[in-house]
Amino acid sequence: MTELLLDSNIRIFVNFSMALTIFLIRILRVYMIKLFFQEEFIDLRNIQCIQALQRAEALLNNGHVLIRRSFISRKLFFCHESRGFFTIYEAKNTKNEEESMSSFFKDLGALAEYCRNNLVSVVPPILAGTWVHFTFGDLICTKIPFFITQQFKAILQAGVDVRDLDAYWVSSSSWYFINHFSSSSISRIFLGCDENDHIEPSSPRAVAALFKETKEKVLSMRENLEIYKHKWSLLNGFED
Amino acid sequence: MHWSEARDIIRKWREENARNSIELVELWEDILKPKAYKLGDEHYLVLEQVCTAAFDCNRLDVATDCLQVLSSKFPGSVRIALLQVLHLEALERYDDALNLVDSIIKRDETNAAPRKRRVAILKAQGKTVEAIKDLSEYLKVFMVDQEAWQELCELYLCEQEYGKAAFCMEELLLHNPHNHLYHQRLAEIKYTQGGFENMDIARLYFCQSYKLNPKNIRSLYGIFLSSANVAASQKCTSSKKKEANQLSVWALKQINERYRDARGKNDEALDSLENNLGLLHLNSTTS
Repeated sequence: MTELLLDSNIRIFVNFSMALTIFLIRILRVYMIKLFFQEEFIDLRNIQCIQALQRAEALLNNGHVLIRRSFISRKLFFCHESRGFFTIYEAKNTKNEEESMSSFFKDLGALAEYCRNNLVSVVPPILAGTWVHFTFGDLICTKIPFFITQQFKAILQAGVDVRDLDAYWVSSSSWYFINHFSSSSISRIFLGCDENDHIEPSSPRAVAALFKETKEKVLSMRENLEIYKHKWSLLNGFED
Repeated sequence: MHWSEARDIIRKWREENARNSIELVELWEDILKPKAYKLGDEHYLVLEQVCTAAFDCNRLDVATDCLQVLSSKFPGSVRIALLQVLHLEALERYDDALNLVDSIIKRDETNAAPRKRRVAILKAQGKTVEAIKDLSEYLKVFMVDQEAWQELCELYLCEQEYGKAAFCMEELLLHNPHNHLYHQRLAEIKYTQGGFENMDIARLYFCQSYKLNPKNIRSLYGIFLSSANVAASQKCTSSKKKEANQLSVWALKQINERYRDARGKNDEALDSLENNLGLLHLNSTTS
């Protein structure tokens, strides 16, 4: 079979314009994020909890340097039955969780957040994808410089349904997706930040996951402290 | 000195958090200031650093120059606002400084720096009790801030609240279990608190400190004094008394050897040292 020869104009009119569009959309998204998500995610309570966890860990690891009374007083600070830090944290958290679960869909604020998230992260790529599909959808625009199996045809030649075409030709729709998913590192170089950095913590699901994570940590830390057997290491720690 | 060398030195100090204020201001004025445009973005970091250093050595002219450049470049920045607080402090306008710090804290609750600044202002005014109150509020949230624990310890010592100071020191010890100075400090606090139990604890911490760093002569003295004290106490059981006595004799011997090594064989001085230590011992048991 003779080698296909691509029109060199494809380079300028398809590949270049596609890359440019993707890049412009990246920029647009970064600014949209700056517009929509201004509120800081970390609040005082979170900092407190994280630092408390660190402190408890230090107590677990090095509690043996303290005398018994000091150790117990710190342990009580963390896990006293009614007034301990972790106990209060857990009680508050379960209450919060119940509230947030029931009110998540009622709460317009959360819903708006969800919509904005979608608006920023999902809609622009879809629009651009549709545009590419309708404008250059049936074009072959590049070639992979090595041989790959026929199974890749479905991925690499979306939009071009030619049975006899070799698998290493790439259609423009597929080229768009490849470009789209690989452009985040390029945009990080040019814009100094990535939109994912902003989006992740703001989405309600991510927040819930983060809370769950700290909650689990608190729970395990509390249990560890409860079963930790304190022994002052200095009592037999010195000999002349 | 070439300007790039000066830049490297200043960069190193900045990264190591070294203060060296006087040298820093000199470097800035003599070498770096005319070449400041060559620094690029680092210029502003250097300006911030120089500004703090200038406040340190009361060079208000340098500081206000830096501050002007910075505040025209970054209006509304929290870091610049903190520098302005420093300026007010340097002018001893503490009330204005406090107001400004409060407004910064209100703007960004999660920022630790202005809260610490507030404590520093209160301390500068001599309001130790209020500073303690503020700092403990701060530590309720930022509870692994070792610097803050250390400062709180100092403040409690100023107020002679030895029990609470010991608590702060223990907190530091938890994070640095191998720092002999923290062990020694805790032992000193316990020793100052007095009483048989505390004295015994002090003895053990002194021993640990000495074990971690056998060159620590202060803990050696500590071992001697605290074990002598324990031995002299009436609550002491006889076996413990024996052990403590042995320990104090051993510590005294170590101290003597140390002096002998350092001074050569100058017996006269050593005799007087022993006499003095004996006096110290007597004083501590009678008091």
